[in-house]
Amino acid sequence: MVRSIGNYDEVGCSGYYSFLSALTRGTDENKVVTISTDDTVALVTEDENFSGVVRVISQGDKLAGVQTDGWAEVEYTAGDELMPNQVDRDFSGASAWTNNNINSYDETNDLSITANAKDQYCYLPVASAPTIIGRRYRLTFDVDNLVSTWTIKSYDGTQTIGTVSAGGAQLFEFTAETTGGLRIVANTTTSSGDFDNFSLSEVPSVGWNYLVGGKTDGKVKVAQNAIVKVVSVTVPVGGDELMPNQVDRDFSGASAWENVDINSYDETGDLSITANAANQYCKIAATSVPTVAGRRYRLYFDVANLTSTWTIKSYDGTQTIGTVSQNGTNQYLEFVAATDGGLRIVAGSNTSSADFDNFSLKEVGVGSSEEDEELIGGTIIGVYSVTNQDQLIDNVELDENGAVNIRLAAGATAANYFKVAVLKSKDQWPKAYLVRSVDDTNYKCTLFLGN
Amino acid sequence: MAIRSVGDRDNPIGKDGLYTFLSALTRGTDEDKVVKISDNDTVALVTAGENFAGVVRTISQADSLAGVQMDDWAEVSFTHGAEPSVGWNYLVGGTTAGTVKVPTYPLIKPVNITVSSGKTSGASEADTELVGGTIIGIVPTGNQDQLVDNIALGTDGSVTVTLASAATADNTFTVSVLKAPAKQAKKYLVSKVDATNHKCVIWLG
Repeated sequence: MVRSIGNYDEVGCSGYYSFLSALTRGTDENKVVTISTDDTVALVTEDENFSGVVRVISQGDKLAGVQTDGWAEVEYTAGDELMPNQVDRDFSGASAWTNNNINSYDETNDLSITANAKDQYCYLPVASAPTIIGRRYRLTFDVDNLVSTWTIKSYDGTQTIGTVSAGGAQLFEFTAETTGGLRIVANTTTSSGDFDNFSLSEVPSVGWNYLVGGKTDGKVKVAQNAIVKVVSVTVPVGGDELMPNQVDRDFSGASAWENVDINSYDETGDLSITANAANQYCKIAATSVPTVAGRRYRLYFDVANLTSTWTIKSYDGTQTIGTVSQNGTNQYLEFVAATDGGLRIVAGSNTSSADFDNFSLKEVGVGSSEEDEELIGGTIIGVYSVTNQDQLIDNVELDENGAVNIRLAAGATAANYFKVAVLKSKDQWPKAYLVRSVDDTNYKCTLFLGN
Repeated sequence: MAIRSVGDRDNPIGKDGLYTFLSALTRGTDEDKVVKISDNDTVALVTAGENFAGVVRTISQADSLAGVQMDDWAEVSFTHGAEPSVGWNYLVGGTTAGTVKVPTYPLIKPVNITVSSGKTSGASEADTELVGGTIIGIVPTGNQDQLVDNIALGTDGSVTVTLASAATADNTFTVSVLKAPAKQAKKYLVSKVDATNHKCVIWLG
């Protein structure tokens, strides 16, 4: 009799489905898997959707019996970071942590605190460690040089999260009873310690959870951004330097500038040029002053000993960028490029003369978020200002690497800060699972895989 | 005699297709009501706006165990005035505990905000439904005479809009807030609606 797949060896236990796999017998049982290719499962990796739990693996490590329905106990990891500001986590700069009345308080590089009375405390505001009432969270941090004990509480002091009674890595899981924030409270008159590397993340709660592959292969975590992710984009006043060669900017050596027909031309130390007829000019190629047609730039330069005027044009002379009519340092001309770059400096009259120096080209009115795999293929659904917007927005785009680019209608007067909401690609949306119990000692939860 | 597994050990809990949970539900009263998982291995009646897990079908004599239907078709009561339609519906706990309703805003809730003339900011009221949510967009509704400098969702679920300068006239906006994942409603297939008795038949999975 020919047995069907799923019944023909030790893999085919009742209720399991048979798949090809390269999982290891004795190691990978009870881990969470995803269907990786035709009829094949592999351990789920971070942020992936999963299919079930591998229960049995054949002696040859080639077949796996996978539970894809009913209740299953699985291991979970921490979710994504919920403390938005790195300085509040690692004290690499001025943080939002605030001393209330602790006798000695120093947050340089870490949070070094020494009390001389019980109940002295410092705190972190709600916005710096937000939680949702009823959901479960994991708080981790390191403690060195611990003396006596400290209690970790919510910002308002109403919920006790845990007690620090030994140095080293700390981990507390708790169900939030407040909207968040933290308080570190001295338990005795001698409490002291150096706190560092705080991290807050969501972990599974009983009820419905969006779950995906966790930070360790074969485990799960709570997906922080279910279908929409909001990214921050800053548009600075000026962007990165776009003229690649310093000698073309400050004439500290032989440059790519070249004279065409200006009567007197000297680029030693600066660009000293004197014409004896209008429209005499010098130039520099696009490779040294690259632009992209349609984008907005500022060309910065210093001018001294100016006589008459000069006109700055594109390399091919088709676009007039602006006119130089006064001396001064750090002058700039803002323009939207109509060519792929390069410059001409053209005499306005037969007496034009000047000393140019310190050229600089920067794209302005543009800012980008970091590349983000989670957003590749997504759709921008909203943009709004946070802190400052002093120019209108011309364009918001999501590039092929998952970075969001904002272009303003003009260069920013001060830095402009925006949030952009991106609807993730459908295949990146996590699934919701019902969790019936959580074991916060062994970091396992029992979830319903389906019927 | 073999030891029976959890789910088979205490008649009438372990009926075919029902899952056994701890509960404080009342036998003779709470059967056929909609429940949520409220604590480890424990169910309770779903309350307004919450997601639910199934329908309690049997309750032990001591009121300490419940057999919960979590799959197939189930008839449940719905809140009058928020009735589902045949087909797919977002459903959450209804106004009466143990019933369901169609939520007004299952995923995204629009919030209206006015920045009054002469003011630089305006805020909506606190809203627990929006705590932990994400602002995803803003549109002017009537008049905008200043740029928006900032939109913030407070820890109490209120939304504050701050303008770059004081409003010349009332500036009115609608801000869209995506609810926190745990507060987003789930969709269920409804096969029948009994408008007389305020009951519907839903597919639990």
